Amino acid sequence: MPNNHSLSAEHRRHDRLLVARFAVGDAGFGQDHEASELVRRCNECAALAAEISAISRSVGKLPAAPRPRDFRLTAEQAAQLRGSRLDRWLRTITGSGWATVRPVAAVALSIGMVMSVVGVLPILGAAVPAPASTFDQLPVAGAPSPEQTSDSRNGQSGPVASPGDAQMGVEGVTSPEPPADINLNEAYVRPTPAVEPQPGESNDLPKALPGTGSSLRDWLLLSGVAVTTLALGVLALLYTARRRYNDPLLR
Amino acid sequence: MVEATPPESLSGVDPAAETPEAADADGAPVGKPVDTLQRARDRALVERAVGGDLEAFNELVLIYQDYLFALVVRVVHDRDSAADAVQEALFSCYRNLDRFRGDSFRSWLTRIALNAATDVLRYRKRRPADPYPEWEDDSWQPPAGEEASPERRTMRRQTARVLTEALAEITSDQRTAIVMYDVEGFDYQEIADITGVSLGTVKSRIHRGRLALRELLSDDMELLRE
Repeated sequence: MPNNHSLSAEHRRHDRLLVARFAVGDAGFGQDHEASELVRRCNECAALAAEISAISRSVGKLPAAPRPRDFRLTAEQAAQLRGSRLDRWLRTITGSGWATVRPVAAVALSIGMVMSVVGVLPILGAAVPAPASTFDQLPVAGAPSPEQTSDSRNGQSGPVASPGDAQMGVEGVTSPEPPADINLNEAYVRPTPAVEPQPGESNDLPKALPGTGSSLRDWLLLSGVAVTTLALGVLALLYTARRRYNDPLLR
Repeated sequence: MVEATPPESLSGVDPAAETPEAADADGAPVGKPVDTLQRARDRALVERAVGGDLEAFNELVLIYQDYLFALVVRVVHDRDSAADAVQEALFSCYRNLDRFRGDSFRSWLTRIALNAATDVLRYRKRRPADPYPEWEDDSWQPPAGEEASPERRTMRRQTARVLTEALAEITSDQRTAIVMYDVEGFDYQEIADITGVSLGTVKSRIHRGRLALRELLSDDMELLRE
């Protein structure tokens, strides 16, 4: 029997793992030949293969240890383990069948928050498209080019305060007869109504037209809050169920 | 505790017979039909147990408790810890029976039991006061036939003892893989599925584990050649 601790220099260079695999018929396609050559030519490899084979056989013959007790459940244990209907449902939602709910709820939460923020910001009202005739189309001699007026139209310094004002400005600019001495930059951002209200008519202009900025913002805000609340509720429920009912042995 | 008395129809079924290496009474290899029948039997019992039939679950316990204990005790190397781990595994199994979606109940149960065994090993690693208790229990010794001579019985005991001690010395991953392959008869793919590692990792653990065993058993190889 070869001494394992005084292996020959040649045997040290041999692939012992390959021999161990070959010993149990697991060398793999293409390596059988190399392994059988090693076993045939090297006595220590042959001994290694025989011993690995013997170890594998002996481990397989190890007697089973008798169990010390009966592991069947009693009715009381079973009732305690099953829990209430709520327990069982909460345990169910921690399972893999509900694995997609959490990312979906997270996405819904993001969308809801974006909807809420967009609903709160005033940009929607300001972004209502203007009617066809705009300042750029006014045939005023000596009027500044659109590039010259762009700074005030972008709202950098102009007093565009509300969507209502913007609406009024559009209407003022599109009046068929603009005043001859109009300061165009001022006229764009601070217009006057072109048509005086007739007697008996109200001069209160609508803050927003139906179906445009304001109602869309309200809808976005309400929907966003609803979606956010729902998603937060689902995530909280899943988190609670996971914390309480997730079974580490099912990992 | 009530002594286990397996029902006549089930007590004769050895869970290990599901494996490809298993053989029937005549030594003929047991093939897929038996495997399929046992899986169908398990699924039927699981369905009844999910419906609230405790007796159905206890039939499953009767079928698998010996196998589970034999597997877990080789991994944790301590009978008391193994018994606790098996009990925990069966509790977990019962609690989550409606989440069983796989094809093989035996593999699912084995995975739960091995997770419980791994928890025992982790706990022991954190408190290494008594990492591998000595076992003096005679029940660990291999059963000897009536015809066995005292010398032969002594030799078998000695073989089982040195092998068990050597198994306790290698890493828990290697030990688990070797026990599952050589003792319980799982194939490589089943072990990979149950332990959640790749096929190559399973093979590597088994072969390297055997090489480690060979180093540990170098002075006792004569026993193993018997």
